[in-house]
Amino acid sequence: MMTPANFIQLLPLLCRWQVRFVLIGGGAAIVHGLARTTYDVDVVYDRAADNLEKLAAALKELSAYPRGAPPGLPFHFDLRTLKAGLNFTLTTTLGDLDLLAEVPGNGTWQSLQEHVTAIQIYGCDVPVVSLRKLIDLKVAAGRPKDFEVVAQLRTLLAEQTGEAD
Amino acid sequence: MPEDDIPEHIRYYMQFVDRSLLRENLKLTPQQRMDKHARMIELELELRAAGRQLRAKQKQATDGNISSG
Repeated sequence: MMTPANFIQLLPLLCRWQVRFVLIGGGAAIVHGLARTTYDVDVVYDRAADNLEKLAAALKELSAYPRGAPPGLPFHFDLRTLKAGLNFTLTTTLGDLDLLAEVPGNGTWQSLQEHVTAIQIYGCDVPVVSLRKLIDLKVAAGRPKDFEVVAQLRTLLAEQTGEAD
Repeated sequence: MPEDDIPEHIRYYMQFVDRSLLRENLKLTPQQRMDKHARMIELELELRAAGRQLRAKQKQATDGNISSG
């Protein structure tokens, strides 16, 4: 069962632990002005060792657990677990969180840096992928379910840049 | 991203986008947009819960009718 992410608390928590990440997906779309709901927080994170340590600490506080896995497994999102994997779909005490090392469209934390804007939300500077890059990532994902979202994002971009209807 | 670069299938979907919703959102700050989203999720969860309650009541009534009939 889905657990809608609590953006209001989850993003500041990642900032408090000084995790290096970039907000992408539906959360980024909402920050840019899209009018739809999303249930999980999608972030691309830096794979550097010091960042994995910060991430592990944040995940411990969030009691992170693999989404969809049977309950009661002896699972700990510690440094070793993070090093052994890349992309993690998690459920946490603050809702669903997708941790992504890389997404289609050359979307690593490093490569996204030139497409990131720090946006002040809930007292912290949240690194959010630019609207143009978000569109590129959605297109690169190539999922039919994203067609409508891409159309909305493209329209949003047109609104922001003052293109005519 | 020039207009010409937009694939045909995306252009098709674009004609159905409600620009007035986007324009209203663009008047808000990013935090206000997040707050609005949180309220929408809250409302959605309440509606789902109400739906579940209603279906349970209807099932109860149906089961009662079957057993009494």
